[in-house]
Amino acid sequence: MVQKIIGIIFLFGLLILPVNAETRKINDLVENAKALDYQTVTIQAEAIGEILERGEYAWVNVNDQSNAIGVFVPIEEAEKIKFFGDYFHQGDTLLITGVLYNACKEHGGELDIHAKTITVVSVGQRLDKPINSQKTLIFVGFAFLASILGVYFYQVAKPKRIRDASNEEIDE
Amino acid sequence: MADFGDSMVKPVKHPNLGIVFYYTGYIVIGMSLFMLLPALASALFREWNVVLGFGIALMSSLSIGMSMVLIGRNTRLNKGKLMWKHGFVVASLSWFILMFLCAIPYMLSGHMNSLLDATFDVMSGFTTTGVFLLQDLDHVSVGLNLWRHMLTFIGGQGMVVLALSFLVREMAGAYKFYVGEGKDVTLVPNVRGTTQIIWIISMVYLTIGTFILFINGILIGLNPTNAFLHGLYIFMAGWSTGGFAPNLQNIMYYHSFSYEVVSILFFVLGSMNFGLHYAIIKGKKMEFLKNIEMQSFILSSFVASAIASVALAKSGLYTDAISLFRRVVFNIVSANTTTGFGSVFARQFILEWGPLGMMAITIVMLIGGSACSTAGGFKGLRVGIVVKGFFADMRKLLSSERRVKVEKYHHIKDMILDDAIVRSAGTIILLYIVLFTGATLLGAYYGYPVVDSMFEAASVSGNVGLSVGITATTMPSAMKVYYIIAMYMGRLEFLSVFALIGVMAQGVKSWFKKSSV
Repeated sequence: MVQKIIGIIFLFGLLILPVNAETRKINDLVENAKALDYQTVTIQAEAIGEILERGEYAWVNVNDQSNAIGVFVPIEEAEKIKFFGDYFHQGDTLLITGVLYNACKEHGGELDIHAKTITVVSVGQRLDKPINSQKTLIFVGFAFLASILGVYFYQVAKPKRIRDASNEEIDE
Repeated sequence: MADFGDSMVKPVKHPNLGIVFYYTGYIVIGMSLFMLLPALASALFREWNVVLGFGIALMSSLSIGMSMVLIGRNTRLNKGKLMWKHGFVVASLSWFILMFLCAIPYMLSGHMNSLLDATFDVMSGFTTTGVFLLQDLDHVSVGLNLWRHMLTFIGGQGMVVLALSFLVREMAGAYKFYVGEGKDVTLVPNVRGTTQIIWIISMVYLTIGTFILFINGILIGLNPTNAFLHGLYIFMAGWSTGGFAPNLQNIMYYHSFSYEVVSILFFVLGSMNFGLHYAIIKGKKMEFLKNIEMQSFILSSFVASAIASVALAKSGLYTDAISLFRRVVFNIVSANTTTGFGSVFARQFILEWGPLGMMAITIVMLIGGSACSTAGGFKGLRVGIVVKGFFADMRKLLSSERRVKVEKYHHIKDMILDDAIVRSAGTIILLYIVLFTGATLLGAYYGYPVVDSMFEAASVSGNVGLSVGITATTMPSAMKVYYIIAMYMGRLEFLSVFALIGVMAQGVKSWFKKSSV
């Protein structure tokens, strides 16, 4: 019974740990990179682009509206991510806990995070992009105007000899 | 038909205005037709709203361009004589009009906070600067990203002569447009031929560069479609020394040493004078080392990298050669070539580089790349000429008055260093310094630290694109307007913009005279 209670408390602790850890903004990390160098930090951000695989690890780029940063993660952690943000997608929102390096020796002096854990806080989605009817109408209007001008422009701007030839045809 | 036409769009009677309308109209038509490419790319990726955005921009721009040609059509019928002032005014006016027309797809994308921000981004593209106010870059469509990079690529090679070469038959006096757009080297006797060579060189490099970056992209984990698109974007931005990238992290998005090395190679090549490219193609390989611009570039990059490394050594941040290369040399060379790819966060320049490192990068941003290339800044050629002129004067002072020595400098061929050349180079450098000082003072006026303000001012005046974070949608509108003017003047090298202002002032003066009579 005691073991079960301890087990439940442990699992509960695991669940609330990331939530309780101080979540920072990426800009805040950049601003305080010297102080936070080699420290464990937590950020919540959207996965963007795609996974960039590097052997057993991968780079996941994340953006939290304040800035974007590269997170170096074991490939099996990266594979948890379903959606990456782009024009058609809202990427998964991730809670990332890892060590911040102001000038990572392993990655050519990059300011990056080596993630210990990645939790998908909310799954992203494909964004609905219905055709905008107002834009369609404006396009039709301008296309009409451009066509009228285009016909006239062609008459005036085309080389004289072609114009003369076509006029002769009309005369005939 | 002619009668119907005459009543539809009346031709302007004033011959000077007619010439300006006629040629500007053709340039607007030429640039409008380029909108077909991002529209097609968007259609391919089923970004239908983006297609509509480009469609609206294309149709409205074509309408404006055709109307302008029709208004100035007497130029063709009367064979209006082209003068220097026309070349300068047409170049600067077409850039100004296109700044608004090319901003239409930006505005319709929903990624811009205002028209001012959109025009800022377009001017940044045209001038190959690379700073931007676009919001949420990581969610931008393929079409708009392609458009951003195309603007910088076309702007870098010169869009005025390109458009006119294709669209206008009689191109007598084309050299005036060519100079009006800030270029002066003639590779072959006629400008049309020179423009064609410039575009052939650029397109050959575009193919090679995109292919190399595509392969590299696949090797670093990008999927094939993205590897191709990113390769194309990064090449266009690198070769044109623009510095745009499809993601917010800029070159840091790729986390790849090899990607950075390939990029550096292409932006250094892009910053080289087209005349030098042509000379090397023609077999003059030693020209690379003998050329005054290359000597100036190598020296300034080396000295600035050394100074920045010393400044950063204090903090002990980058302790190995690879880190120093990727975070220090990369940024210095990017700044000196006026590219603006950044391999550190904007704020790291302030937080890590310190005043000495920032001054080093500020100075190389101002010096810039080669004349008649895609780069901005004072230009290595002018700096070299002024430095040589200074030493020549020193030698004259110290040697016997009876001794007459002809001073020379090497730029494609040996050239005589006379006072007029030194004075002309000095004047342009002085104008850049005035522009830079104005931007610095304005930044300081709005409360930004002076060193930060200097950095940003050098970046926009020299058409670089690195930022310490001042360039943001929240910055004061007056600064946005000044930065647009600084990018515009810096790129066109002042004369064209002065000519436009002069002609406008003349117009206003004569209008007042007429009204008072």
